[in-house]
Parts: sequence; C-alpha cells; structure tokens
Amino acid sequence: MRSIYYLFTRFYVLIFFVLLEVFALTLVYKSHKYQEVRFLNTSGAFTGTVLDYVNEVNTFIHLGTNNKILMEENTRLKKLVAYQNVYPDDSSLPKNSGTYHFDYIPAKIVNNTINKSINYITINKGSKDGVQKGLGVISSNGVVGIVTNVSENFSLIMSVVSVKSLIGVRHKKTNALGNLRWNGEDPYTLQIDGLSKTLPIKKNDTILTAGFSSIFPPEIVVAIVKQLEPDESTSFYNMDVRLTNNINTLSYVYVVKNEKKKELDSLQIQMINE
Amino acid sequence: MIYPLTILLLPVFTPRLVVLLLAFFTGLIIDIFSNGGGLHTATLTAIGFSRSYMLDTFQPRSGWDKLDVPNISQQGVTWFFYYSLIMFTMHHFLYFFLEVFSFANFFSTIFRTFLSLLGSLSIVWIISLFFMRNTRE
Repeated sequence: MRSIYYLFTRFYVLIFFVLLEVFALTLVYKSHKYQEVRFLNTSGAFTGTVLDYVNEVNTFIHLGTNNKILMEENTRLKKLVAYQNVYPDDSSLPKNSGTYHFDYIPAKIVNNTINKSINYITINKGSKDGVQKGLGVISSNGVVGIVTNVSENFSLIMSVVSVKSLIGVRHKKTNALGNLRWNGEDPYTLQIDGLSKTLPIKKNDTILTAGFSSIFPPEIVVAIVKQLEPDESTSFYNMDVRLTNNINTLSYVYVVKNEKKKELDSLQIQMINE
Repeated sequence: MIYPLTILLLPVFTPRLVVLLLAFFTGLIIDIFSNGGGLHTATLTAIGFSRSYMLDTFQPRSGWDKLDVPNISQQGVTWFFYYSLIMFTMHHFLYFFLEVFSFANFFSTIFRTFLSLLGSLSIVWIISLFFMRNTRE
C-alpha cells in the first residue's frame, strides 16, 4: 500500500498525463473512425451562442460570397416555383423531366439610373450566359424591365421606370388586364391603364404580371395600387401604383428565360400573317 | 497555430500538474470551437507534459530562479529561438500526424508540417519581439 502511495506521489504527473492523453487520443480515434461522431463539436448550446457572435462578424466579412450563394439558391427555388405555376397539377407529370418552362439567370446590377425618361440598368451577364434581347428581368420582389441590348458579358435592361416601357399586368382580385406604364414624372409612381371603371378596384390592391406573355412568369407581384380615380373622358381608371421593388436600390436581378418563347412567338407571328 | 505559446510561456516553477491540466483544457476549448475532434487536446497535453523535461534540459548554468519565465526578455533571443523551435516542431509533427492518422503519404505530411511550422514560428517570433524588454540589464 505504501509503495502504491509512493508511486502515486512520485509519478502523479505522469499518471495524469497518461489518463488525459488516452482520453484525448480516444476522441481523435473516434473522430477518425466515425465521421458523424464528434464529441467535441460546435453544436452545443454554449458554443453555439458564442459562435453565433463570431459568425455575425464572419458573415459580414463574407457578405459578397454569401449573397452569391443565396442568389443561386433562389434561382433554383424560383425554377421550382415557376414550374409549379406553369403546371398547377404536377402530380401527373414527371417531376424530374428537366424541362422547366422558365429558366432564370442570376445577374448583378453594374449600373443603374432612375433620373432619365428612359432608364437603363446594366447587368453583368451577357450572351455568353444565355441572355438574349427581349427577355424579361425580375428581382426577388417584382419586375425590373426588359433586356434591350446584349453584349458578350453585359446586358442593358430598359427598366419599367421608362416612358417607352409597356408591360402587361393583371389586377389580382378581378383578373382584369391592364398595361403598366410610366408617365415620366415620379420614378416611384407608375401608372396602369386599361382597367375598366366598372371594376371593384380599391387602394392597396395587388397587381400581378399578366402571365400569358412569354416574357414574365405568371403570379409575380408587380405593384400596389396607390391612388385611383375614374377618368371622366374614358371608361378607364386613372391609376397610380407603387412598384413592390425599389428599382433604385436593387443589386441582384434574374433574367427570365422562357424556353418556349421562340416557339410561341413564331406561332403568333404565323397567326398574324394569316 | 501559435496557441502552444500559452503553455510554453508559463512560469518555470508552475506546478507540473497545473501545466498539464491547463494544456489539456486549452486544447479542449480549441477543439470545441474548431471542431477539432480531440486533435488539439491530444497534442497540447503532450506539449504540457514534455515542457518540464525540456526546461530541465535547457536550464541555465546556475539553475532556474524562482520567478523565472521562459520568455524572450528573460532568457534571451537565442535561448528562446531554440526553445520555441524544438517545442513547436514537436507540436506540429504530432498535430499533423494525428490529423492524417496514418503514415501513408508520409512525405506530404512532413511537407505540410514544415510549411505550417515556418508560418507559426515566424508569427511567434514576431509577437515575442514585440514583447521583448531588456530586464536583464
């Protein structure tokens, strides 16, 4: 007994070392052997909270990269949503057919104006990325414009805040169709014409994309009715709307690519010619 | 990887068990926050254990003084250079071989060890020089 006690007092550091080292090496061994079992990990409540703070700083540093990742993710999800809008009852359709109706190309705004009568937005995607003239451009919460010029790496979009712009829209409650225009005055207020005075339209009603055009996907919220009064001389409303997205502060947009646009257009041209 | 410095710079006559436990828990904390899986704990515990033997071997001719600290200001640049070099080399070798957990790709592991060692030691020496004071004079 005495000798054991003597041994312990003499070698207690060594004994402790062996114990701790065996413990640590067991952890190392387990972390190598079983991928999912990590005893020391960052999923605990305490470490989680601390790492949250660390992450906040890191997130800020990697904001650009994260934004890009999120945008790609958004693109993927939007594809899914568009797919479901086009085919409302998709239970009978093969889910992984790979042929969605609408394709989205994420792009970053390089240049943007809002103070001219025809405002152009430059994005960093061009013909190399599949952008074509005449395609629609949307943001995560509204319509942005239509592609008018395409170079190899960049494209020019005529924003909806342009007097030349004309986009087919639909009043959500009544499904009545109208045209979104801009009168060139206040860049935050656009006008809709073509909605009949007889329709029960109220302030704060939602305006969606028309949906049958081949440019924009359906069911995208475009604007909120800001002000309306029946026009004395015509049978339509004089309607002011506010866009749901702030064109001025946008930084990321999606170019909408309708895979069947060409087919649709040629069919319609054929019909007009006949 | 300059965290072994916290253990290396403890006063010479810190009880050995205290050094060992400090090393162990430092490693544990690092592991918890970096998903290390016991890697830092194992290496740093080994460093904490071997430190006292290292100090015994490298003691000055007159022996250690009660309040001595094995840092650059008290022991001088040359002494600290060798001390940190040996300890960090040991630490990095242990760390990288435990990390790959095999002797396969032996030379690539050695290569990574030396690269990392170079970076760590440069930082350690720069930091040490910042805190250097001529207490000897």
